[in-house]
Amino acid sequence: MSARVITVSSGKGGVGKTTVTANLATALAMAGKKVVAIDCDIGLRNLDLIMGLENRIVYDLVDIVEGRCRLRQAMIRDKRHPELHLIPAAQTRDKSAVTPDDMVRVCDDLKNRVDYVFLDCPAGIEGGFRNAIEPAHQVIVVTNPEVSSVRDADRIIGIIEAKEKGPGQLIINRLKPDMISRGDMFSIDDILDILAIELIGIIPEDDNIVVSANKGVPVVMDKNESLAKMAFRNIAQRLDGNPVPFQDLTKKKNLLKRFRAWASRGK
Amino acid sequence: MVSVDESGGKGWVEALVLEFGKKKDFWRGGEVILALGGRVVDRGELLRAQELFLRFGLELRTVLSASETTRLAAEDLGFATHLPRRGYSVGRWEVPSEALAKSDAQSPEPEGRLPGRKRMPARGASEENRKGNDDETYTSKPERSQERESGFRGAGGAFSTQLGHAVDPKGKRMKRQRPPKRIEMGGGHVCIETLRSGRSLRHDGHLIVIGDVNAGAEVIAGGDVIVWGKVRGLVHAGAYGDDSAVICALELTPTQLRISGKVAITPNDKRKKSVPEMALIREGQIVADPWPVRP
Repeated sequence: MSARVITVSSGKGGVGKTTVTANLATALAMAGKKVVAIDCDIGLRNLDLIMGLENRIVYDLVDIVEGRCRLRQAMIRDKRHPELHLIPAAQTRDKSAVTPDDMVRVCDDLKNRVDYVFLDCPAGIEGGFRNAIEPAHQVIVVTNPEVSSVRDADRIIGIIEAKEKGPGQLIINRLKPDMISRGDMFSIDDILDILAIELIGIIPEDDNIVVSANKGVPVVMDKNESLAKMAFRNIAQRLDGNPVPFQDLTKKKNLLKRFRAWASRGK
Repeated sequence: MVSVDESGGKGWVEALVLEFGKKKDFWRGGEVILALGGRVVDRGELLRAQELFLRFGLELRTVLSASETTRLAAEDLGFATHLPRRGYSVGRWEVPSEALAKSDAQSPEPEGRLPGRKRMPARGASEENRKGNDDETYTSKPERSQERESGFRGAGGAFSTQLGHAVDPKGKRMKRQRPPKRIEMGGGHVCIETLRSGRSLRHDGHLIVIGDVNAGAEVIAGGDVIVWGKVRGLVHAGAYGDDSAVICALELTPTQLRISGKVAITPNDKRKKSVPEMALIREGQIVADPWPVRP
């Protein structure tokens, strides 16, 4: 067994790296894979909150690196999915506590224990980002359909190409189909035209994501079906090598809109 | 790049001496790629050729040959035997000293290095703002109509003209000299890569980019710039003050375009079009024509 190391990055903050990491890791674990998610945002950890594992942290990534604990001890097992683990970041330290070599070593140690290692990258292109990129086999770039996050994603892709980590794969997050159809938002084609990398997923804007983040339950674990849940599950399948067709987000909205229009006309 | 045909006899090195002797100083400082075709050349001859190029201030780097013997000999002597795939330089363009002297008045950096990104527009803008204030006739009507026709407009009028006015340390404007005539370009640089945000590509001679120039990237050349792709970032051609420099691209929607000392931005309504265009300076303004130019 040899783990695939997938780094989730974006450059800009707030586009949904942590949410994507938590949901993809959970979705793959739900599909029966052994998954470890590592929070690389040392000093500003969030992944534990989103995954609802905050109160179970004893050791963290810096403790592993500095030899205060064994790797196994810092891996928090998610009780809802026995094959899902989290290695949290230290909150009281900063990114200088870990070097790229440390990250490679940690991922090497995990290599024979799991199927997938997810690295949640911090925002920016400094030390923390370089730590998270170094061990990556595959880089997922998350962007939102707006100018600044696309520009930052472009910069990130340039850096990972220079580091020969491949051009990366793109997830477009927080898409609002109705805004695109009105021409108020970057369309998917506009983004792909600029970034020119493979698209592996589109996640629509969904209020359920905020709700589930506050509850500490990734949206893929939600009982109710939602567009976002479906999108994350599809991306997880694509990562696992099953080509799943893309959802037609616009069409769905249009149908709904058409229905609404029809209903209001009837009144 | 020097090609030697197969027909000549043993005296090809001597023939090169004659050929190079004609333009002695022009060649100085370059790199040589020697293309020998199928000719069989031994170590001795290669060494003689290297010595010859050194005499003209040239460095023999690469030997291209179809003959196995020649290639082995070249490899033995430490020459490259194939062109690098990415970003290879075809010779280097040295700025002639007289051109430097002229461009002193044009470019803020008298050493003939490429001018810094921020200094040029800032200086030009403040210069022009001042001028705009005490000279109302500056943005005259004919210029305006020119803007509309060309599809490119100067950045708010203030940017549109002579950045090239050199300012002496006391802030007084010096007399503007005539731009130097087109400088002979000994070579260029080819970059086969999409330049993403944050990349900066600079070259003294011509630059060819095969790929896009994304927003946030910059391309600065002493000569012309050709982009086989879309330009969304910043492109500066003729950075030493060559007003005849051109910028060609399959799609020209840059954040900013600079030729010599002039600056232009993409007008908002132009973003929808996507035809190959060539930008050049005409009547003191940067204009964009369809490319290739149809009669």
